[in-house]
Amino acid sequence: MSPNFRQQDRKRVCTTSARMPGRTMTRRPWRPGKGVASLAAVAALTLMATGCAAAASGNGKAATSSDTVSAGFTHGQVRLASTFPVSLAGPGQMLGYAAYFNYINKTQGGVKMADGKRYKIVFQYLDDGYDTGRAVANVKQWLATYHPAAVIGMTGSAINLATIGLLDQAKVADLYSSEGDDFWQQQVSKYPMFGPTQDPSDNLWMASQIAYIKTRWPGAKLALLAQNDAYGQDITNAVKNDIKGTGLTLADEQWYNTGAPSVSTQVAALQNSGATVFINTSLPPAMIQSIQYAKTIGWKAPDFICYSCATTTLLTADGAAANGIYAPLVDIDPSSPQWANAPAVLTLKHIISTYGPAGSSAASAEDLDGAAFAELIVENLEKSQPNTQSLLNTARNQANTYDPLLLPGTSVTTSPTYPYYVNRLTIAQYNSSTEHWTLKAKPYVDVTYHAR
Amino acid sequence: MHEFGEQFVNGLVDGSSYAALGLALVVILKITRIGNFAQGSQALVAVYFVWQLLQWGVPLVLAIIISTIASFLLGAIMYGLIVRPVDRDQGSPYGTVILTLGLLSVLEFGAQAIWGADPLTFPALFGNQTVTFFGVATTRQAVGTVGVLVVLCILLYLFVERSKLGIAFRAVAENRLAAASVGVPVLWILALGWGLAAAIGAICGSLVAPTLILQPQMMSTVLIYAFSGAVLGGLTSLAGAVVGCMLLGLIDDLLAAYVPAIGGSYSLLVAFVIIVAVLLVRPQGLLGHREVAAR
Repeated sequence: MSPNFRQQDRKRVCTTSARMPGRTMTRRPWRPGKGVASLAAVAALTLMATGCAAAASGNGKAATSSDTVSAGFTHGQVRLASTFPVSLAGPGQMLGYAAYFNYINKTQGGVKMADGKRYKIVFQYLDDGYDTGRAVANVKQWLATYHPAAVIGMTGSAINLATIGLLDQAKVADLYSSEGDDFWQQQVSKYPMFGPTQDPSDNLWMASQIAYIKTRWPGAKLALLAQNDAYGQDITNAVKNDIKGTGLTLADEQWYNTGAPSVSTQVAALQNSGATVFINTSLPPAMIQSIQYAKTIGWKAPDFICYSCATTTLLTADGAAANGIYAPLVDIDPSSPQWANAPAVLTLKHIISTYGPAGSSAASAEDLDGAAFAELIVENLEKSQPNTQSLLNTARNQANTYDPLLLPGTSVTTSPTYPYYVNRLTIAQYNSSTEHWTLKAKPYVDVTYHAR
Repeated sequence: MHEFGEQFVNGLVDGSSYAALGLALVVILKITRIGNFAQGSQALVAVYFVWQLLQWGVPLVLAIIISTIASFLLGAIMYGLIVRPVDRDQGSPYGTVILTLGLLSVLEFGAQAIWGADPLTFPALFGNQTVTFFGVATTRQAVGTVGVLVVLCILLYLFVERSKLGIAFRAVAENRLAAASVGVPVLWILALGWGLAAAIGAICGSLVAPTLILQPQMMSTVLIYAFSGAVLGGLTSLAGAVVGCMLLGLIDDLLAAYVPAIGGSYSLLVAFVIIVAVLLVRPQGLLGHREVAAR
């Protein structure tokens, strides 16, 4: 019954997220919350960002199949859709999108696009329960009846792979899905409608850790804990490639199956390998267990956790055992007291509390995450002509676009051959008593990024 | 030798997590002949209830006691209102199987709806301090959990085998009609059986939650291990459930640690192959009764 978001898909319903898990949950591991609302959302929930009635009424007529050239941009509307594991991860991110789009519609009369006209943003989402079949059905439904300009925020490698063909054929963009898998960079040329994701590349965050370890602990012997799925294999390959010629060695690698009740056996084996640095790519709850067990057996090797696990919510579950943990950071964690009152966070909280639909919460990291990505999408729309290809081109060719939740000094930078929304991140260390992160190095830039 | 000791203890600790649930599964199976796939979810909800009580300032021990009593009552009520109508005529066994699978989903998603999907911090009743035996480190909680399991097992054995109510339980399990004909209140006994199993689940769930990490899927995989361990040990034997689950934990962990070709990826697969092999030789399980297996 355990939902296997490879929580990277982890990043699965998990799983597992600071911006969300499940292959990828969201930017950070899931934090499905808001139960009642999430159950209610199991049935197809339709949210109009306008806060008004249904998509087919109010601001305009429903699109028709004749909308071919600028499908998704008709009748003074731009239509966006999402299929998301609401019943597993909660509706937070979706409610965040809805809140921000509603804010734009209410305060500005819609988004002003590059043709000088304003378009109301209509947004609908459906629950897919992290089930590929349901996600495909949802997308087919959108294509047949709703004609969106883009599907946004999809979660899971399998779901993206199962739906991208449909979207390519219908000329509908797939934007800001929760993906960090190296697969997409290798294959991006095959999928003309696949836009940037909302996760950094797995290769990027692993390379940043290896680079830091090489500098800080030259000649270190590494212990690797990985989940037995495509995400784990992706990460393991990255580690083996990245340590070549660095003087670092892989002392031992241990695997665990998704949903395994315990990883103590693997952690004990890693300790006994004599490794001096722990590359801990496990996803919650294994990540939490591994940190606790390492403390129990007195293993003091520096512990580097995965990108999507670096959230205050998850690390709080480890208590003092999480003190000193290292992680690659891209964005600020609004659930941390360190950033809870940052101006950008306060602005988003105000928007959610004022314009959010029923069930939204300004205190939720998922809602804030959704609102932040909605702001990014609005920025993209402002620079685009009212057609899907223009929107896709804009999203794929960004240079320093503002994202309110990115770490200072980091911005959205994309290219047609690099399908991830950022190309740099920073290693940080966690203090469990203050719940603060300390940046430990300058941002690490992905050398595989190709500027336009 | 130190590493072997460490892995051996890990196997026992993991096995105790499975045994905690396996014990509840066997109790309900012995009394009602129903394989309750919702047992883990019932325990999960009970643990979340303990967590909620803690947030309201109730001390941990008292919270576990309250949750255990509430679980007992809810388990009995659940049988009377939901399971009994399906189980009444003892027709197709698939009806109750599907029903409990449905309950599993309802309880799991219901818990997530109320308490969210984030992992929650759950305190350890015996403390998370490290204790060392012959150089092997584990936690006080792990030792305490094993101790409670042993005590529970003994108490349940005495209750089922030596008490008057226990005799009624066994009579209902053997033949409901015959039991009713001699005045045993069958419905009440069955409801009490569900309540008892739910209460055991609440206690054991509260003990393993600090290790497994409290989150909606906490018991999902454990249920598979618990069922498998109980089958290995013997579905009719309380001690068998504990022994079977402990063995499963040991086999799984030691294979993962010492057979690199198997590792953590395939250890469970191999463990199941071993279980099948054992059952081929001894279908009633290691400590089960042969006559029941022959039914």
